[in-house]
Amino acid sequence: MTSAEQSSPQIRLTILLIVVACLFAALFARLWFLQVINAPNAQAAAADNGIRYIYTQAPRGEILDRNGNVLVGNKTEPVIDVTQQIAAADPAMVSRLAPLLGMTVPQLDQAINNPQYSPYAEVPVLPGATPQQILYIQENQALFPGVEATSMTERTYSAMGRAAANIVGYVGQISQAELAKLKPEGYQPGDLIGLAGVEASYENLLRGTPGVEKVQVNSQGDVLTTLSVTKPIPGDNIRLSIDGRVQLAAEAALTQGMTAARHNFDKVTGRDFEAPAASAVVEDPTNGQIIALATNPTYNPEEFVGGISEANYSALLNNPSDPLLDRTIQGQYAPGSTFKLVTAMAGLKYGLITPGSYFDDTGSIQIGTKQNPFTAHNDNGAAYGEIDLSQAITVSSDNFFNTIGLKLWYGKSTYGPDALQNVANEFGFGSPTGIALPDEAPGKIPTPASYIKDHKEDPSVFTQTQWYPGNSDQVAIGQDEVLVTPLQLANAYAAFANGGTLYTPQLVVDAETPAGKVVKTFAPETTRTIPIAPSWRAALLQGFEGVANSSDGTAAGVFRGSPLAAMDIAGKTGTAQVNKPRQDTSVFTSFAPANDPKYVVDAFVEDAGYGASVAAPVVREIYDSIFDLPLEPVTYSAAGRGGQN
Amino acid sequence: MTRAPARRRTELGLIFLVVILTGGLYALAGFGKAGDLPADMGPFLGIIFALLLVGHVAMRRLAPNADPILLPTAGLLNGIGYVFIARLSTHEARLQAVWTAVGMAAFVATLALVRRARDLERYRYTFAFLGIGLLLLPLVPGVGENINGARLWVHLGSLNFQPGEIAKLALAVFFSSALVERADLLSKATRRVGRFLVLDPRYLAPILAAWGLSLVIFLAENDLGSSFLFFALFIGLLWVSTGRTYYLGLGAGLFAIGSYLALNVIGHAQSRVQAWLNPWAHPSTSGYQIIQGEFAIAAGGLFGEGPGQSNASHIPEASTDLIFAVIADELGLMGAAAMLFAYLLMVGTGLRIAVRCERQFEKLLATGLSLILGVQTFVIVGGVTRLIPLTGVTLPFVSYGGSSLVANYILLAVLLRISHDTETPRPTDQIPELYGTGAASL
Repeated sequence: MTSAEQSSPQIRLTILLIVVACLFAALFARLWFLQVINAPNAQAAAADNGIRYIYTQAPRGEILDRNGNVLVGNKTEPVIDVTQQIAAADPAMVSRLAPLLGMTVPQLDQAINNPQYSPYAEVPVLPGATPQQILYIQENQALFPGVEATSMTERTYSAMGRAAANIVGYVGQISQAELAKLKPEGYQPGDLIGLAGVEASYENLLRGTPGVEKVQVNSQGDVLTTLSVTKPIPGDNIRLSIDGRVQLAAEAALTQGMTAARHNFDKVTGRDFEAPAASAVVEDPTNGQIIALATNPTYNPEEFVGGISEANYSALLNNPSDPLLDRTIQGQYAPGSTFKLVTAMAGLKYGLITPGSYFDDTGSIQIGTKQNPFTAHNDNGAAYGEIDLSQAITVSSDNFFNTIGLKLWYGKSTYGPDALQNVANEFGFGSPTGIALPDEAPGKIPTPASYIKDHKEDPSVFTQTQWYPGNSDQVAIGQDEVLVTPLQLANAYAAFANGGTLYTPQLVVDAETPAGKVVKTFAPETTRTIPIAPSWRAALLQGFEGVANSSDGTAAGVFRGSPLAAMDIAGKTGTAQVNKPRQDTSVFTSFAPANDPKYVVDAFVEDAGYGASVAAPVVREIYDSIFDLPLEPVTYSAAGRGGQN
Repeated sequence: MTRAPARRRTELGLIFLVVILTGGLYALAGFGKAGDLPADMGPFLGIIFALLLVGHVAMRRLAPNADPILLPTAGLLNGIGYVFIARLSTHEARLQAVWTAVGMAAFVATLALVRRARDLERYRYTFAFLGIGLLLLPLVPGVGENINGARLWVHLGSLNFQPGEIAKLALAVFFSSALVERADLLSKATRRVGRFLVLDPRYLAPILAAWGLSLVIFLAENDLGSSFLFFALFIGLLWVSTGRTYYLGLGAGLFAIGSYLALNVIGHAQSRVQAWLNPWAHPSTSGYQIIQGEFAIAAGGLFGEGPGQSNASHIPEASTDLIFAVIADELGLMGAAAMLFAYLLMVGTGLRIAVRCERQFEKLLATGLSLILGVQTFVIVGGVTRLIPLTGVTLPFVSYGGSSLVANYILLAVLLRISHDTETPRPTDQIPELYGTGAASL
């Protein structure tokens, strides 16, 4: 303190000069850091700074049916776009614009500041703008800087497309998570991307190549010059193997079948059938092409156009009837007696039966141990007497097939513990078929090993500690824990129908440019070949033909005397029991014409009773449509003779 | 008298050098930008030489013994500033040329009107009222205007003017004279608070009142840079005049309180500090300017991209607040450092003039004017380089802006007047003769 007091002004001025010099030295040091030491980093960061890329999505390819009918097309819709950066700098413009668009200022601000878009991108704030609104903006463009009346393309759906919602799927804005993953492929915030069905699985073909405009921007983000322009390349049109007409017919038949079931009384549960859901598959057994995949309940894909609201989406998601579930590939059902194809093939393969051998069906068999015996009955205790394989199929004798299952189990030292399951796997059960649709379910073929494993993992659900003979008995008739998807069942019967080729179900025939030039064709893919001796096939075929055509066939009441009889339908009923209080699943699978199969058709109707009661009439109506015959409305077919399994 | 022509000859030589340097720079910028010599190369050289020559002749007549370095250095900075403004905007360049002429006129007028620096001392309260009045002007409804969140401007017809620039000078005069008047009282502790002897606040009251009032006005106008400049000026003068380190501590304390208040009251201040600490938090809004400035500075590297060759025009406020970033970009560290050296030279010369003054008033005034120059340069260059928060003060003689240019030429004239007074031999009989020639020329 004293030295300062004594210091002369001269010294203080010198100190001041030193201080100023030090401050300037600090500035120099800072400049040295910025211009020399840190310059490479900053220059790299700056390299991209003045350049912006503006992406334009290419028009999406259309989705056509096998005959070229448009299932999913495009339409251009007028829309009002606002550029975020310009709007942020001009609140007065936003408050002018809001009333014109019939929005409040906060609503418009929220729409403009959609975080999915970059500040340089135009954010669509009003899809479906009226011509008056567009005209007003165009005539008063000076009042609305950064606002553009333009058009955006949106998906449109034909009636056939709506009926095929589960196949074609829908598009929506890309999510943050997907964006992070797909950034290298040039996806931008706000881009539309296939989220379900073919839209999702063939995204790479439908999407096309986005256009890129490389521009230089100034400090305000205004575009100064365009450096380069790459035009978008439209996506390819995709032609499905689906026949839109058959798809429509299948959807209609399912609806009729469910309605019919609901008006009939279930003696087992003492209430009307509920029939909450149903599905049907039509496949070409000669090449594995899928002609129809119908599921009910379903959704209207038009709900997703222009972005589905949060409320509407959660309503779909939380709907107890689960309309977003494609039951043809995601529904897993006990196949019931339709599984007897597998058991018969196993019996023949391991020599337990021959096409000519007979079995005495007394209506029940004893299984289990002496201490713990139980009896397996045919449905309604029917006794079919001396029957061969064909007759066992036609009348759907449980005991015939129970016995095969038991014999395979008791002979496990010879045949192996999974003899029956291996044949099921050969026919494609227990794993996804590989159809090009997202989230296909695998179904389940239980084995002694799976019982032990499941119990170990979750003893509260899988209470049984190990495999018993009764499990073999039940698996043999498509019960126990056996689960199949309608597509798996159709595909297995297609393999039988074509003599043993198990195809990977094919959905897309080819991809074409918008001008119609085919750029890619899809060939049938074989999963495996199943050896089926001609004598085996003949015996089984006779049995399946009998189901629909013989007087004692389980579905004879549905097909005999109908115009379809001429088409030589072969089929198999199934009545799958499920845990109470659910009612039996009505299953029918078929192929036609029996001696030269061109179509495989199956149907599953939940909580609807006998296979012959609902599923078979549904299949019948689908055939009517395929063969251009007069449609026979689906009516509930009452159970005839005992064994309607 | 013998030294006077020598000094003026030095000045004239330096002016030639300045014309060559700025002319060369202007030509290079023209080649860099358009690949050709600027169309107005001739008029440019003519006008810059003519303007500096007017200043030089006025010096010969009115302040022949004054320092020879300040005018050419200011001319160099002014010329470099003009080259870069012209490179950014021809419209602004045209206005800046007009303002340069006005500034030079103000320079000559100041030299002519202020015959002796000590005369200013007598009008201290006039300057106090003038300063505060000028500061208040932008707050008058209908006259004032907000630009970039700060209310600093008055518009006279189509011209915008920042009266605060002139107010700084007026208040510097007032502080210097008021402090000289009370220097004895202020340097003696008369009151005991605990163990410390402190000043009787009664003596400080008028100064504190003026300082507080002008500070409040600056803050009301959201001019943070000027508030700090003003504050530093006041504390610096107080310390230089009294020699009491106590004032530096008091100043640091008041600065802390003032900063705290500013941060909590002025939203503008908060966003400035946030943009300083982390411009990347909002790279396209509040951090945009500073990021663009840093990119430009980094692009310059050691030797720069060359005049007219960068794309620095995309920096917001490139010709005013961020002109130093453009210069650092195109002239590199070498050019930027040379600019800093030019400012340091001016501040050093100013302080040397203060050292040589015998009278307290002139000594304080020269110190104050030098401080204004130095602190203002530090505040804006520090802000642009993100050493301190960026506030909108001009880079003296370089930034686009008329009021700043005029004020700085007046400041220069006063400094040179003090310099002349100090260097002129005392015999009073010589003075009337000198004044006689000057008066005749008016």
